Amino acid sequence: MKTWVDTDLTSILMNKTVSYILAIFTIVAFVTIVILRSTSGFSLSSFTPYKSLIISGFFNTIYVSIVSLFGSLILGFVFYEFSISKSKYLIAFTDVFTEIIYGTPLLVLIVISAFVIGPAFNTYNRNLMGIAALIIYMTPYMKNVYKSAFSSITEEQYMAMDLFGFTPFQRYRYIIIPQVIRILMPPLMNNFSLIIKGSALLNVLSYNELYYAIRVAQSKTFDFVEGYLLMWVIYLVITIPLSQLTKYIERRWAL
Amino acid sequence: MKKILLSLTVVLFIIILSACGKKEDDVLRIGMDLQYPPFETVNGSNVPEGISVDIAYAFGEFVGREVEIVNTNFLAIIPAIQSGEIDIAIASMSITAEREKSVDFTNPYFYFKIISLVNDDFATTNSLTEDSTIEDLLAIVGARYVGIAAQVSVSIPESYGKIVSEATDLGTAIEGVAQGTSDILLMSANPVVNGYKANPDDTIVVWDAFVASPIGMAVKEGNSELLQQANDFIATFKDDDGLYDQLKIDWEEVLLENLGRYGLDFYINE
Repeated sequence: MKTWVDTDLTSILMNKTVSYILAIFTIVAFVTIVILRSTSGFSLSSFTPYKSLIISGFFNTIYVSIVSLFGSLILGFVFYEFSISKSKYLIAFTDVFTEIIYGTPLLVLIVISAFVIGPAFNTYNRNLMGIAALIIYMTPYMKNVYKSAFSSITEEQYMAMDLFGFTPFQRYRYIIIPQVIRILMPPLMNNFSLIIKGSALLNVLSYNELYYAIRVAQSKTFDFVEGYLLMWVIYLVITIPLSQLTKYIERRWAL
Repeated sequence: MKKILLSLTVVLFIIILSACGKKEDDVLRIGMDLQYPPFETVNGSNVPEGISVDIAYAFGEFVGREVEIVNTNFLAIIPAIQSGEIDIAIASMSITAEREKSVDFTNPYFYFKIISLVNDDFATTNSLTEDSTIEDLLAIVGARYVGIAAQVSVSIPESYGKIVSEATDLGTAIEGVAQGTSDILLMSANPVVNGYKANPDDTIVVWDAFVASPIGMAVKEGNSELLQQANDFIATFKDDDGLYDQLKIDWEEVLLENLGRYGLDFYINE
């Protein structure tokens, strides 16, 4: 049995926790160097009057992301059904739609939805159209997630379910979902992370999400170094726990 | 399961399409970009505030209509007027011939003197100071101008035959001058001074104005009724206790503190 005294330097450095701490330290050191080179007095004081604006920007980002997540989950499932349907038209439509959305930058999609498509249908609710754009943008990615997940259930399993006379509920609850979830979760969480990061582009619609809130707070003092760093950290505060949660769920629901 | 989800999507679509902006005819929708303090900005609780905001509400009172301030990205203001999304723009917008093609402007109610933010090293090399003239600036060969897309910030140097690189927002343009990737930025006084204050070691302000850009309110082409009301409103500004006097009470100190030299008269006089 190795005691702490027995382990030599090599094994301390090979220790996983230490490695992680060193890795994080490297990044922090880099950021600190950037700060020191950019500005003489690092101070977040110009942002304090805008605290509530930034906080509501933070919550709006989360709200918009969750709404877009569910929207694209639903729409993605619909397009998945189209893509495996017997209708050649629906398959073709899904294909064409996917190609176009893949080729469209999210920013362009947002601007077209809010300033062109919206007014064409008399909708001036720019925020709604922005969220719609985000949903539509993520739909093909969600469709692919469903495709890879559901295709993992082999024919034999379906035959076995028929054999045992499983009800639809039993099929999903005991066979399909447990297997599918493991495959679904990582790309799904990845897509959610994409949504959160993409939501920053809604700032062009003057929607008060996080990026916009910090930009407004910067409009008087132009404290860029502090502002962008603050923005960056807050986004990480949202996305890193999410990815850690994903890994936890993956492990827990593993087969 | 599939049918439920399919019908859910249909419902979702119907909700989206039916959420049309049902605009009540009585509400006056006034557009501005709330990122330019002290004229158009928001306070810490995201409530619009600023000189243009005060003007907007005063206009509402003048015509007896409720006012809704529509926060619109500056580039999107003219399209918003044309599509009917907003009725009038009180956005510190300069009256230019280009813009006159798309919207109708009122008489000017302010004159924004366009001054320059100059990179410090560039200024030293070319012996420029705060009191240099625009002729001094224009005479420098190879000066790199930066401006904000679709604003007089770009069109004014261009009218002198200069090549101007376009930034999409004010912050980027200012950073460009501060970091030395550009030499000169033309803008109205407040952003220039704010940009200087944010980068006191890297920039200087040259106060000699290129032009005094007339600022007007914009309405949809042909909307002569609203245009007339706006012009009547503007005509009252110079009255005793008119809007200029009222604005001075609220904003003179803020402006003086901001600019360090001038108050509201800097904007009122040509």
